[in-house]
Formats: sequence, C-alpha cells, structure tokens
Amino acid sequence: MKVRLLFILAALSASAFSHGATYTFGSFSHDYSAPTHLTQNHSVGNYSTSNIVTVHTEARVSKALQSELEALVNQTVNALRPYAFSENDSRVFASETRSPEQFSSQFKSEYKVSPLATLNSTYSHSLPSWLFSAIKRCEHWFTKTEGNISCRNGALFTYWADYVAGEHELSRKEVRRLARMARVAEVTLKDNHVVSFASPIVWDFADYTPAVLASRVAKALRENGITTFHLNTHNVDLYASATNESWQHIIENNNVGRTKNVDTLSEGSIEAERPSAKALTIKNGVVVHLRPQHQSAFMSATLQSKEKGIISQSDGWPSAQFESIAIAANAFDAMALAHLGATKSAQQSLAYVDGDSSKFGRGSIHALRLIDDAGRVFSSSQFSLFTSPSKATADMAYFNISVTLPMFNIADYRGPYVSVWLSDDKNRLIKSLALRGTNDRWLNKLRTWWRRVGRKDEALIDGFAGATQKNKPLQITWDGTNDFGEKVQTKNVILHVEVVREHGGRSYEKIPLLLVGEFSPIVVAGTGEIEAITVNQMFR
Amino acid sequence: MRKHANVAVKAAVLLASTSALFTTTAIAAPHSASGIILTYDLNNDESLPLEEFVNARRARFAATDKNSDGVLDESEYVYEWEDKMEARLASDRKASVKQTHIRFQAVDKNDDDRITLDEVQAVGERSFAHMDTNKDGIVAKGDPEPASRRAAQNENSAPTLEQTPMLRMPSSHNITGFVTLFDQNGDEKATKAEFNAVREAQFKRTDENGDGSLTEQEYVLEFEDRLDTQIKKTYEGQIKQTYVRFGVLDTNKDKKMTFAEYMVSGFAAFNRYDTNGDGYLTLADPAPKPRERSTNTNNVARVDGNAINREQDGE
Repeated sequence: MKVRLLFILAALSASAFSHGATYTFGSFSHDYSAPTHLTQNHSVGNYSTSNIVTVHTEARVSKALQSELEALVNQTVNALRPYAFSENDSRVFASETRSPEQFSSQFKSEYKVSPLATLNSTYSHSLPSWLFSAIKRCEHWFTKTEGNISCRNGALFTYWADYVAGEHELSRKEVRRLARMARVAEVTLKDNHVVSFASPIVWDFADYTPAVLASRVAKALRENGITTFHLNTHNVDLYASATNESWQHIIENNNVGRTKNVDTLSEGSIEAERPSAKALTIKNGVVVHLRPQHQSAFMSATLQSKEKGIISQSDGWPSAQFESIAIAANAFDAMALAHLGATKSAQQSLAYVDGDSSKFGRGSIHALRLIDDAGRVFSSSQFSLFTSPSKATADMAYFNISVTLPMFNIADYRGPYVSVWLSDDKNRLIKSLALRGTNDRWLNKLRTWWRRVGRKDEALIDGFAGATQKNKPLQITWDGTNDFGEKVQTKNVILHVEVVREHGGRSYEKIPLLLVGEFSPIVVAGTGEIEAITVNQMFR
Repeated sequence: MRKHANVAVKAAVLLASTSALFTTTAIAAPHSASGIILTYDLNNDESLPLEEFVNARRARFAATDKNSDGVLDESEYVYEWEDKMEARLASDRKASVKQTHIRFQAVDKNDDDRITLDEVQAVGERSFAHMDTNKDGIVAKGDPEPASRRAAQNENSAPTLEQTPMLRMPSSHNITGFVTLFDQNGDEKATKAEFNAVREAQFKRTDENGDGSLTEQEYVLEFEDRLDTQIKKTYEGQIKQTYVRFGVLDTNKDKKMTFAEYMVSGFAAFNRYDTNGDGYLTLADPAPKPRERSTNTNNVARVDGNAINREQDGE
C-alpha cells in the first residue's frame, strides 16, 4: 500500500497542528483471499484494507511506547483477520475445511490463524476480552438495527471480492441471500468470552477494524498517561482532552489540517467565530465521516468495483444516498451510526439518534448529519450542540416546535400525513422540518406543501419522508439553519404545518416568526387535524 | 381527502392486496403514446411533430452507430437498447421498491410497524371476494373478469405522459393470473383454502426470524427477491427480442440496418399513435385500437407485423 503511505505523509505536512508531534503506526495492508476453491498457490480474488493509525499529540511519546503501539496495531489487525494468514505473504488464506488443525497441516508453518479465523473455523471459541467486547458491541447494534449493522458478513464480502476479481457476475439476489444467511444465524455470547453459533457465518470486521483500532490505541495512550491527543485512522477521528478542550475538525480536503483549542484561537480566525458547515468543533468524542458517493463499494489492492457506495449489511447491496457524519462517545458506535446513516433513509437513521437513543447506552451516540446529492443537510436535533464552539453554542438560539395531533376514536383511523416546513415571506422554502408519509398519491393531498415544495423535489421525498405515526406529537428542534446547513439570514420566516388524514380532512396553519429581538413563545390552537402548535425559543 | 379521496384509498389498499401479499405499482393513466413522446420530444413541450420525431430518430441513429459507418450492425443496435433498458429497469425497480414500503404501511392496519397473519388475511378476504365475481367461493378459469379498479379510478383523470413500466410482476388482477398463482392441484381453480394456504406459506417464508410477524425490512426484502428474479427474466427476454427485432427491420437481410430501414418502424409507430392524423403526437390523440397481445410479453419474441412498433415503447 505505497499509495496509502504517500497520502499519509502528504497529509501530515499539511497539518495545521502547530505544536506537538505526529506518530504513525501500522503502515501495512493485507489482502484477503476468497475461501472458495482453495489451493495453496492459487488465490482467487482478494481485497485489502490498510490500517494506519496517526496520533497527533503535544505529549511526548517515548520510543518504548511507540514500539508498544506499533505492536498493538499489528496485533489488532492480525487478530481481526477472518482467515488464516502469513506475514510473509500478502495473501490471506481461508480454509475450506473448518478445523484449524487440518488447516495448518495444509500450509507451511508460517501461516497463522487469528482468534477470529479460529472462531470462524470452529463455530465456538473463547476470545481475548477486547475482541469479545467488539463482537458484543457489534451484536448489540445488530439486534437493535435488525441486522443493518453486522460483523457477520464475511461470506458476503468474499462474494464481492470474487466479483471484483472477475470470477462471477454480481447478482443482487445472491448478495441478499448471503446477508440473510448471516442474519438469521443464531449466535450465543457467553460470560467466559466464548462466542458460539450453529450455522455458518464468517465474522468479519472489515468495516469496523479502524474503529476497533482507534479504541485500542486510545486506551493504550490513556493508560500511559497521555490524555490529550487526536487520533486518526481510515474515516475515524478520535479527539481526547483531559480538560475537555475543543478541537476543530475540518471536513474538507480529505480530513487534513486540524487545529486544537478553538476557544483560544486568535481573533482573526473566521472558523472560530463563525462555525461553518465545513468545520466542526468537537470536544471529547469520535467523528466518523463516510462519503459513499465517492468510494467504490468494494476495493482490493488493485481492483475496485464500478459500483459506488457502502455495502449495506442487511441486503448486501451498495447504497450511496447520503454522505454521513456521525459523532459518538466511542469509535465503534460512531462507525456503526455512520454506516446506518449512509445506508438507510434519513428518517430511519436520525430516529436512532433523536428517538430512543437510550437503547445504545445513555449518551453513547451523540449526533448525526446526512448530506444528500443536492447538498441538502439533515441533522439530528443535537448536532449543533456537539459541533459548535462552546462560546457560539452558548449564544446560539434554537427553536423547539411542537405539533400535537388530535386522536379520532374511529375504527379506520390511520395516522395522518404531516409536513412541517419553514419558508421566507415569499414562500420560498428555507428548511423542511418534518415529513410523515411516503406515498406520492397522498403526499400530494398536502396541497399547499405539494404545490410549493413536494412536486418539484422527488429527492427530498425519497430521502426525507418517513412513515406516518398515528397521532404521535411532533417535537422538532430548529437550529436556525436552512436546508443546506447555512445560517438563515432573513429575520422573517414563516412556519407552515399541514396535516391530511385518510378518512379525515386537511388542516393547514402558517405562523410568522420574527427572528429579531425577544421572542415570545407562540401557542396556536389548531382546528380539524391540528390540535395545537407551540414554538419556543431556547438557549443552550 | 374527502369523499372522492376515500374511495381512492380503499381502492389503493385493495389493489395492493390482490397479488398474494405483494404486487407492483398501480400506475396513473398514462397516455398510450407516452413512451414515444417522452423519448423523442426533445424540447419537452409534450407535443411531437413528425419533423422533430425524425430529427430525434436521426440523432439516436447516429449515437447508436458507434463506428460511424452510416449503418447499424446487430451488436450496435442491441448494445444501444441494452443501455436504455438497464436504465429503465433500474428506475422501475426503484419505483417498485418504494411502492412496497407504501404497501407495508397500507397492510399494517394498526400502525404498529408489524404485519401479522391476521392483517394479511383481512386483506386477502377482500381480494378473494373481488376476484370471485360469480360469488361461488371459487375463482376458476372462465369466470367473468372483475372490473378493473384502476380504470374506474382513472376514468375522469386527464391522461398524463408516463413511460409504461418495462418491469411487470406476474399479475393476480385477472382470472388467469390469479388461478396460476393460487391453484395448487392443477384443476384450474383456486379455492379459498388454496388461496389462504399460498398466502400463509408466503407469510412464513417472509418471516425470516419466525416470530409470527413481518417487519418492514422482512417484507421488502422478500419482495425484492421476486423483483430481481423478474428483472432477470425481463432482461433476457428483452435482449432476445431485440435480436429478433433487428432481423425484422433489416429487410434486405444484409445484417446492416440503414436509416431508411430504421425509420420503417419509426413511421409505423408514429402513424399508429397519431390517431387524429394531424402530424403531431400529443395527449389529444385518442388511444389507438388495442392490438392482440399474448399475456406473457417477456418471453415471447414477436415476429408479427406489430413487432417493429415495439421498439418505440419498449414493450
């Protein structure tokens, strides 16, 4: 992976890190061979991942610790190989036979069997605690997301590897079948770090190796007394500060150039004064940024699929609907959330953050931002709280908009279609805030919204609309930005709420909001399909 | 969503339910010449004069003629169609999957994000009653066809320009399709028991974790399996048909299609749909007389006189 190394070196020279040092660990790559038709001299199809960890810190990292970290990175990556491998041979062999003893007798002694490869070949194995924790976390996400986050899809990735190597055509039905096989398998996690399963699955951390690496290196740094650092691996940026300082995370130019301590930046720093969509200010936490539109769904060292996107773990097919920026307390959660954001509809993935996020452990997933092809931004409600300089956050006003819907006690009650949006005083759309209902045929019964917004914008409906939800009240946070994540400049905006119900009627309210001076809370009693609308200005 | 709307939504739910658990999109009334107008009306004014048509055909001919030798050989002709077809199948697929999500919501009567067998059977009850036109409890070949809901729904709406979907799932909206899907013992009849058994089996197959209810993901993924099977079938049928079409259009059989030969099919199609004969294809042209067609359009390569028209609307 010479190319990768060059990139990293270039990235470092462009770094805006003014003090401190940068350390790079684990500059190697590995290729996987497909497990089918195995012969010793013939590897069919391969894919590669490079795993380089770069640490930026003002603390001194001793030579001893550097070696320790280098070893840790190597050990982690090797342990996560799904198949047996040799350090002298970039190919990684998988065994058709499922016993490690048989396997090793087939190969030269130099081939090693990782804990994950052993698990894959024996169906039941006791793992090192860090690896067991990683599988446990992955399985937790697996359960909560109906298999949309999964570390069981080795067979699927092998199929993709063979496809990229020209071994076969790509069948959408087949990838779905492979994903389903892995999904329906029963897995047991036991207290003694034993993972076991009855039907064949191949554990594979391809998508999550950088996250596991980041966590392990961060832990090792902390254990060695280094508590303030920025750590980068593929798509992952982990920020740690003992004193809860802010970091500036720039989301352009392939993640290069970061400046610490935004609060103390010089006066001239524009980014510090006016946080833009291009720079995020992060406290302790992990940012994972995926750009599925710009990456091949599957890459090997030399080949890549023409299909773009990120392979969905639930149906095996690449999706490139959204660029996805996820922020979480730990690297695995950030990676999983970013994947979900890139492969699911905006409503579905944002609901994981805004809805019942407690199922991921209190406060472990923070925020998600999705950007569609048109540049439209969809953010979870707390996104700006986690990504603005503390000074800006403290001053920043945001609005809580609540819409309650009446319940009709009738047999054929169906949840209404609802649209909530903001426009300027010339009815030009500023931001879509909520859209319940997905059927065009009924969306167009939201007459006002359809005429002004919906009929012109199929992509908005595809990306943004979610299912109806009975009369569940809508709780919306508006952070003062428009559809493209920019601060709204106009002082007069109009809030529109339109509701239409099958077997019912249509109601529409528009409420002018003046964004200067003191904002008095607004309460509007609705009629028909709208019970009430309230708007409150809040300060952080 | 007042009275008129109520009728329509009921119809939508019923339409959704008649093919086992699943079926394809119900399409608004597309104008019959939609395909040609959408393909060749380059200035998008919804009107296609003969001259614009000929120019657009010439441009398409030139673009298809990859080696610019002034004639199309078989591979150029098929290649061009393959590209168009892939794009259309991809867009049909997307629409179909979208519709499946909507259908899930429609069948999930109590909005709990799960479909139970009861909900499926409730919908089935109504579809069976709809198909059982003579009310003898059995849907059999030869029974009168049920009234088309789509036609009833659209009779007052103005025709719109919409490409006919290339991807069509097996239909259970007619007696033959219904019996084919649900007759289990080959007696050309579908009893209520057979109907319910097929639907129940399909429910179980769809319920991948076997918990007795279907999530939206389970429901959609099962449908996508059948959708992709049908896409493969459609694709192969289309390719086969394109070779046949080339043979028919290449009247002097020299394996090279000249622009004049290419335009034989073009003029035939234009004239067929320009029913008021004013030299313009527009929404105002009444639909032409339907031509005889077999029920399975995907696998039958046609060589009758109509075959040459098929290129335009991609049937």
